[in-house]
This record gives sequence, C-alpha cells and structure tokens, in this order.
Amino acid sequence: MSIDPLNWLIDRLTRLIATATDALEQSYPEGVDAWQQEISRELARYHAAAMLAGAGVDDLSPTMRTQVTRDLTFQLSYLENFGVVIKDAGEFQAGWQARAAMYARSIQVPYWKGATKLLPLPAMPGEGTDCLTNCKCSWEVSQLEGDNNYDAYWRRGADDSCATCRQRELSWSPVKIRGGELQL
Amino acid sequence: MGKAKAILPRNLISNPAKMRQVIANTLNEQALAIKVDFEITVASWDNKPSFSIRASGWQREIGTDGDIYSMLNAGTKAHRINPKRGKVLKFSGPFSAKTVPNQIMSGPGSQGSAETFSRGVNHPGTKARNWDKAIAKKWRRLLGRQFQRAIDAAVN
Repeated sequence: MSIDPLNWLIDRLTRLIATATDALEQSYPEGVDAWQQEISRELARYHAAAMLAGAGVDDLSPTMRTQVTRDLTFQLSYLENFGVVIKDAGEFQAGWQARAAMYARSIQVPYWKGATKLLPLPAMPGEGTDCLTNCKCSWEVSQLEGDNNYDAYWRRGADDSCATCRQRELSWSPVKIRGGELQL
Repeated sequence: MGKAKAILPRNLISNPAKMRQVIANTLNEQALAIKVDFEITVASWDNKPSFSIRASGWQREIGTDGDIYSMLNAGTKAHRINPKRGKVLKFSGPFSAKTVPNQIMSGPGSQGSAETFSRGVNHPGTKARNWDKAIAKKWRRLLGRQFQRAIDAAVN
C-alpha cells in the first residue's frame, strides 16, 4: 500500500487544528492567543515537513528554508487577521472550524515547490486559484535532455475544479522551461 | 502599487546572466498567469477572443484581438439604439450577462427567449468589467512569490 505523503500530512494537520479549535470553543472568549500560537507552531512544522516530503530529502537547503519561511509568513498574516475576527466576534461561530481547517491545506504550496524542484513555474497549486487551499491540482514535471530543460503539466485532481484550475489545465499543458528559462 | 520583499543571495547579484534570467522568468511567470486569468473571463463565450503575450525587453504585454472584449472591459456610456434595416428592432429578453464587473469569471448567462419589438431603445450603457484592473491587482499581490521562485530556481 502506498501513502500519498501530501494528503497524509494534510489529514494529520487537519486533525491537530480541529482539536485546537475544539479547545478554543470550550474556553472562548479566553484562549484565542494560545490557539493562535498553537496553530502557528503546527503550521511552521508542517510547512517544513511538506517541503521535505515534496523534495524527497531529509534536510532543508538554505533555499528551501527561505521558501518555507516566505510561505509560512503569508499564512501567518492570514491567521493573524482570523485571530482579530475571532477576538472581536463576542461568541464562538460554527463556521470557524471550517475556516481553521483550510490552513491545513496551505502546506500544499511548499510541498509542490519541493516536488517541482523550485522551477520557475507561473503558479503553484492553490496560488491565485478560486479554490485557494482546497486546490487538488498538481504539477507533473518531465525532465528533458539537455541542461535545465523541463516540460511541466498542470494536472487536475478533482472533477469539480474551479475555473482557474480548469483553464490552467488547458493553457499549461505543458509550460516549457528551456535552459532554465520559462518560455512564453 | 504592490509591495514585495524578495530575498536575493549575494552570489546572484554578482552574476549578471543569472540576474537577467531571474528577471525574465519573473516576467514570464506573471505574464503566463495573467493570460490564463484573461482566458477565464471568456471561458463560457461562444466566440472567444484570443489572448497573446508580446515580449519586448523587460516588458510583457498581454493583449487581445477581441473588440467586444475591449468594449466590455472599458464599458460604454448610455446610448440610443435605432433600427438599421427595416423600421423596428427585434431583440429577446430577459437578458442575463455572462460576466460581472470586477470579477475574473465567466458564467452561463442567457439571451432570454421572449421576443420584443421596438422602434428604438435607450440602452443604459454597459458597466465596465475592469478585467484588466482586477487581474492586475490580483497578480501584483502575488508578484513577490513569483520573483522569489525565479530567484530560488536560479540559485538552486
């Protein structure tokens, strides 16, 4: 039996976030700062793990570390806004569980950066898409003969993909990288 | 104007060929992503205009051959429509547009099936779809990520 490492990581992180958000519901309106710290910590761990899993390596290179930090900073800024919404709400909202769970899917961005060997691709799954972190698309990269020559295909992983993903599949099949330069 | 902070390794600054590649890749990443978004706005159209990217030095221009697209993008003022041939206008309704202002999307829309005849109508004008502005705003925000990806690809 083979395990899809990305979905395995997303499932685990989803459960951790759900547990932390359940605890927040019990303690609300107290505990928002602690919840935010807990989610931030887990996002940091899982962003790094996703990059490692995508690249299939045991250690992050300095370049990979930079990428992970950038992606994490992006998500933490969203989380901070979410924290402000929670603090200001006055009572716990049922929709917060679902919104919190979306952070688990954000680790697909570092995962695909690792898996695509940090190629200069126009966008990563979940980046600039209507489906945001629910994106189930992927890049399939073929290395060609010569130095830094690749064909990269946008592959959809769901029948009900958003309009952005459907168009990317049509337009980016493949995008071509030749000599390290993305072709128009 | 969007702001982006990129982490630029020292050994890249001293390598003009690599820097040139980083900038070209960033521009090409953004141009390809923007072109897809323009294509989304006409995905449900029967007569789709085509979009193309023109590269010139450090500029990338994404353009279209669609006159109707350009007209919808900019919008129109209220105007009078009179019959050109014959004495009456014939049109169907109620009309439902495939696109809405400031949204990067294209829905089913409908021409309607009830026929109406008129000696002329005052068209209220078409609200500008502003696709160029909406798409530019979206990708300006994501430019930093694309730039960083191009840098990382060059030093990887």
